[in-house]
Amino acid sequence: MPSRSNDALFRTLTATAADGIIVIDERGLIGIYNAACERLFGYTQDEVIGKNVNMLMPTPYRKEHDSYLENYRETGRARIMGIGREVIGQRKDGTTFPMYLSVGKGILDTQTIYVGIIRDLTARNSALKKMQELQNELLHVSRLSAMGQMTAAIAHELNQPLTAVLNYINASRRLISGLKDPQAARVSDLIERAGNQINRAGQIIRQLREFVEKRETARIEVNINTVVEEAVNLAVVGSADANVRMKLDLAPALSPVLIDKIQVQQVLLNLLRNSVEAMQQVSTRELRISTVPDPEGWVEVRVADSGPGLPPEVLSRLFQPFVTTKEKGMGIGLSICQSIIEAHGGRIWAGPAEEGGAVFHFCLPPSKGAAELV
Amino acid sequence: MLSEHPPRMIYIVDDDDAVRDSLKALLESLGFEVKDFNSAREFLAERKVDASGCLLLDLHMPVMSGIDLLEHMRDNGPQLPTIVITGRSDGFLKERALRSGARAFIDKPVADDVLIAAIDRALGDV
Repeated sequence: MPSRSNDALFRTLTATAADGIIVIDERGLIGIYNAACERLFGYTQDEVIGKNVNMLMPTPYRKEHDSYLENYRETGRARIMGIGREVIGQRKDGTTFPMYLSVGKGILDTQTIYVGIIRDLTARNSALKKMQELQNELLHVSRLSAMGQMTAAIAHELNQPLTAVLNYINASRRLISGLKDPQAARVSDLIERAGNQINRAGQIIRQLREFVEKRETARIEVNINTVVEEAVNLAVVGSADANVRMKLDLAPALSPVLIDKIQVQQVLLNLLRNSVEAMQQVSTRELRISTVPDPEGWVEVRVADSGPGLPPEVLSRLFQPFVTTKEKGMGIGLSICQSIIEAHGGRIWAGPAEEGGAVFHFCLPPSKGAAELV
Repeated sequence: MLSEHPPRMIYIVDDDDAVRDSLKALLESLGFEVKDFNSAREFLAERKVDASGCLLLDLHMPVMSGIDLLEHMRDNGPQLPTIVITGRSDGFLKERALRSGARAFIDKPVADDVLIAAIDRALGDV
């Protein structure tokens, strides 16, 4: 016979538990249904006691539950016992919600009972969904932006030989113009036509560049710490990153920076993912991200890993355009990272970390400086 | 107009070999004397700089960029009118170059009449 104090304790336990507690008998009939359950399902205790627990489940689970119980009784094979998993619950108003259910088995007065603990997953699932949506959006935008940056990089590369050709053509024209040779006029004319085509090519490149540069109007004034935190949240959502220890060391009093937030986040994501990949082969996986002010008010961001580090021959080629690197997921390439940072007036560079890994740094000018120039 | 003056010295700093060589060919065909350098450091190592000349400078160079050189020259000399010629310009960079002391800013590929006019102005100001 349970003592009075046990009884009171039991009542307090079930009444104050934040999670739902349901106890059913072997046939699935509800014997205990606590206050948290009332809040979760909408039914009051009186409405459920003695009824089959499958009333709290949507179809088809409702019909299946009885057979689960019977199956377990006959075979002893558990589908959920002691394991716990995500299931769907149904409220009194008919709406459903995701819940985490763990079930234990017990004996009470020689009868078998099942104790279910229920946690509402609605909030967690909607946060996860939002995170997934943000990632997809960022991925999409980063692909577009990467194409834009790639275009700008190609345009610049093309400009060099075009410039040289035009210079040679103009030099040739001038040298020929003084000659008396009867062919000179014809040659001069042909050269002039070639020059016009070069100008045409140059125009096309200029138009390409202008098209890409429209993004500059998307710059906003932000605190870089916010950008870093968001990027970190997005970068380590995958399971491969579960074994990476992240250390954030964000300086408190930083000047705001005027940046295209999506672009700078792309740079950060690229650096973070590179570091995580670099550490795959080592046992100690530590990622240190810090923000640091410099004496002139510039803002420096550092991403340091505990990986194998960068050999000198890799270091010298790191930011070259069109160098193939592993382009998984959101990687946009270090050359494009450099384009982005330099377009903001900053610098990006890499070096060895004290503990043997690699550190990537980039710095950005304070927005006061940028605002002055606009 | 150009032929009235003794040959003026034009310095070129650009890390792209073809751009440097072709620019030198063009300027020599115009009657200038040209000295070209692979990098900003190489240029700064030059002991005798003709202050009546001018400098044509690329911005995107490794180790020491065009902006770095402009700021160095502004603070330590040599004092030389400088025209920036670059293939990768944007508003921010242009402003920065002009604030660091550049006289003019020209986009690649360069139209020779634009270049001549800019050089004229730069040399005329001296």
